Amino acid sequence: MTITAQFTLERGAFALDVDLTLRDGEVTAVVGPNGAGKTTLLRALAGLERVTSGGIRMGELLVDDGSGVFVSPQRRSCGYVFQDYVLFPHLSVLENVAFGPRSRGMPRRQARAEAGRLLLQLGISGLASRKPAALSGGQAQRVALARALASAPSLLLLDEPLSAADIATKRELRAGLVERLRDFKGCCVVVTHDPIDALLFAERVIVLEDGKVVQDDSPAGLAAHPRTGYVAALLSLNLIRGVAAAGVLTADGGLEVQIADQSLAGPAAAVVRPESISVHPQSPHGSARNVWSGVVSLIQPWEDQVRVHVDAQPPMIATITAQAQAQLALEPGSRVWLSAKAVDIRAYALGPEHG
Amino acid sequence: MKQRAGLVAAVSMMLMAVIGTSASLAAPMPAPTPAPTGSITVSAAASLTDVFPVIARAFMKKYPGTSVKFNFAGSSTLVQQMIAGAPVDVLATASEPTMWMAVSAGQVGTPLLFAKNTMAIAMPPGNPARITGLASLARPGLLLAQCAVTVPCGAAARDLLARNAVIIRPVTMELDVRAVLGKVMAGEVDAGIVYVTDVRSVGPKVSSVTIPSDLNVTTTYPIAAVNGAANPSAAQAFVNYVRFTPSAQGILRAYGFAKPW
Amino acid sequence: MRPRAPWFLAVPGAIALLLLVAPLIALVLRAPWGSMLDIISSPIAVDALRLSMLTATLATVLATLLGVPLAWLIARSGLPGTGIARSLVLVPLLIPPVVSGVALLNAFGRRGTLGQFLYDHFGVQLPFTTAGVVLAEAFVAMPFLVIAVEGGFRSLNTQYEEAAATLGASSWTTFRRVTLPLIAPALGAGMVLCWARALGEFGATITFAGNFPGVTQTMPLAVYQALESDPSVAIALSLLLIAICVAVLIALRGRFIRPLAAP
Repeated sequence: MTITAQFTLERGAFALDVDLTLRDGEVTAVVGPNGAGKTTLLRALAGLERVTSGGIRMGELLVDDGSGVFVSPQRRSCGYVFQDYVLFPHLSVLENVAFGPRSRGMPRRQARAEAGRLLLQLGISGLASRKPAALSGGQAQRVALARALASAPSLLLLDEPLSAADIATKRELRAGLVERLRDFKGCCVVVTHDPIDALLFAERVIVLEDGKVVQDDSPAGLAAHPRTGYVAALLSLNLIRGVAAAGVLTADGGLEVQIADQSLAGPAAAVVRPESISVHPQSPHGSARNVWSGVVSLIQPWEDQVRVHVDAQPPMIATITAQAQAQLALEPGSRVWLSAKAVDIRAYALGPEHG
Repeated sequence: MKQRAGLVAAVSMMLMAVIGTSASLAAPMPAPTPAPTGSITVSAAASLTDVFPVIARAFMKKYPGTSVKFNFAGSSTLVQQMIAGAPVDVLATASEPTMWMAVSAGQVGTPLLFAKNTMAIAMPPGNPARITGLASLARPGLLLAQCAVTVPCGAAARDLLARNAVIIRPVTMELDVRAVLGKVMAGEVDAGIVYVTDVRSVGPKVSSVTIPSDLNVTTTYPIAAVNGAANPSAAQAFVNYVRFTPSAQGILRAYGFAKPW
Repeated sequence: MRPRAPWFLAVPGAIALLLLVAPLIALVLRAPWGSMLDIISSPIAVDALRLSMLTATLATVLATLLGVPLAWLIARSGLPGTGIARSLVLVPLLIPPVVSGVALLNAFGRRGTLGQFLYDHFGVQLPFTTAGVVLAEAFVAMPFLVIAVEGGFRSLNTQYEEAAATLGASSWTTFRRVTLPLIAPALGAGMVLCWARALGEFGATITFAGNFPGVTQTMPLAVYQALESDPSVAIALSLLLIAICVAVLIALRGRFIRPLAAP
């Protein structure tokens, strides 16, 4: 079915404002900083919160219109995987998974058989008689997913499904989850703060910041044209926003950047990958390159290289080799000059929705 | 050993009854020398709750410098408290058997009989159940209250009913007579068997039926100073005051108690 | 290193233990062991014990059926006045039991505000009946249950109920299969406390329900009455009651006593 959510949800000073459509078979990732409203969005779709105005429609059925109409969570066909899994501690894994079908009227034996089948499908049938307290993080996540899927919901909601797992388990779970979500026939929304998850699971990514949708794009589109600093940082990109004219992007802070695209005009943004930025101990002379100056604020080992955070206008992250760092004798507080070639700076127009 | 003590007690009680009786006909009360002073604690039966404080005031007026504190409860409870070591100077119970218990435990000195009481039937004001006498108590469906037979008032009620061949089925056997009275006044029972003094003390708050004296049962009230009391002279002075003075006896009469002889 | 007890804790602690245990030891030492069997098999004792067990259990059942919903309302409903309700629930805990009895009499007695209505229209009379004993005991003991269960509800993670809702469970199913099992320790502790309090009640029952063997004379009343005529019987009956309570506590050890210590 198609789910349309076009509503405002006010809670105190915070307001969540969305307009989106979810389709069968499509996995939508929702990313955003803490407090952006991601969990609130999921809860509104599930019926755990009521909208203030607007409406949510599941298929033909209006489930919430902010005033008289409200369909309770029990009657929405929705599976929810909570961030902490929230497995019922007093029930075994099998009974947890059978809970949904049983609550909807299936006789106990049948429900348990269904649950057993699902556990088998997910490769965790050996856990059936265990209690949640005896499960590892990864096992619990799979049980939580099984429990949500057991009632064959039309809408599957996952709230940070991998956040409770440690790094080693995450990799393994991620692979499993990608497959499950791909097989899922209904609408699926995954909230995550990990960009890799967003890019892996989803066909579509929605970026929420402070209750507003700031970007709604495919993962590739997101990576290619991030609209806000948050998204860029998410993707480990440097972002410069400003106004473009005749091959120069004048950044909001005053900096002027040479860009390759001469035809670009109007509000625009440019991304530079950290690897494309060169770090110099003194101002480099010579050809017309883009040069900034700033003070090193943080040096971070990053896999087998080094990330240098520079407090410039705008702030930048550069990735250099460990030898280079040693050679330059960089440390926090060092003044450096950064440069990037115009060809490494990718600029694009920012549409009217930016802001 | 116990039997001998009991025999001694019985003989003492009879002697005291004789002495007490004769004393009233003979000389005035022995004057206490020197004048009593200080405070005394008196354990007294529940049915003395209204009359004893009045007597105490008169006593304190006569002997300035004295003060009397009271401890009212069912007679058997008072005796048990005393045996367990309660610091009491004077004991006044509502029946001879209860005083007997204290005597045989060696707790008190010579008891004097100071008053008599008889039974009455009390009903809520207006007598809604239309009780007319002892016989009407046997009517089925009535809610009746009496004291438990372990309490003097209850023993007297049992004797009263036996004497008059009336069989009742009470709904409660309260642990002191004031509790019976309370239930009657609240209208929770149709009638209760209490003392005439109780009926007198609450006045219009209950209706009552007098029981003719030839059908009635009397209980006698003994009073004694406690052995090893903190203030023996004042204790004995109080005992004598209650038993011998016209003012104390007059107050008892006013409250409905009869002469002990 | 084994934890050692500093003296300023060990000494008062030992005194406290002595204070609690000494009266029980004294009872054991003074008991009429020779006639114990006769006493505890006498009709008075058997009647009183049977009645006490029955009324305490019924009172606990009543308190549970009424108290659990009340506790839920106070803890969860967010309705106005729940703060006042919580304070009102504590009242029977604070007032002397006899006062409770007087209050019950004025409400449910034959001439009471509600009792009169019940009597005139339905012929129902509560004083002097076993039902009256159950009511009096439930009145004084229910606060324990409500407080314990309310604590349980309040500390329960609401996400469990939300999860159940998303899985399609109705409110009743959620309450029955998720909420109640999860507060079972608090409920159990509350019921044990309630039962123990009901068992020991004296002032409210004698004032409201009176004292009649087999009908309203519970163990505490029988003990008190025995005290007036034969203290050794009182000691024997007291020990019997204590023995029963200790047996119940041992049977429930761990399951409910630990939550009492750390709810």
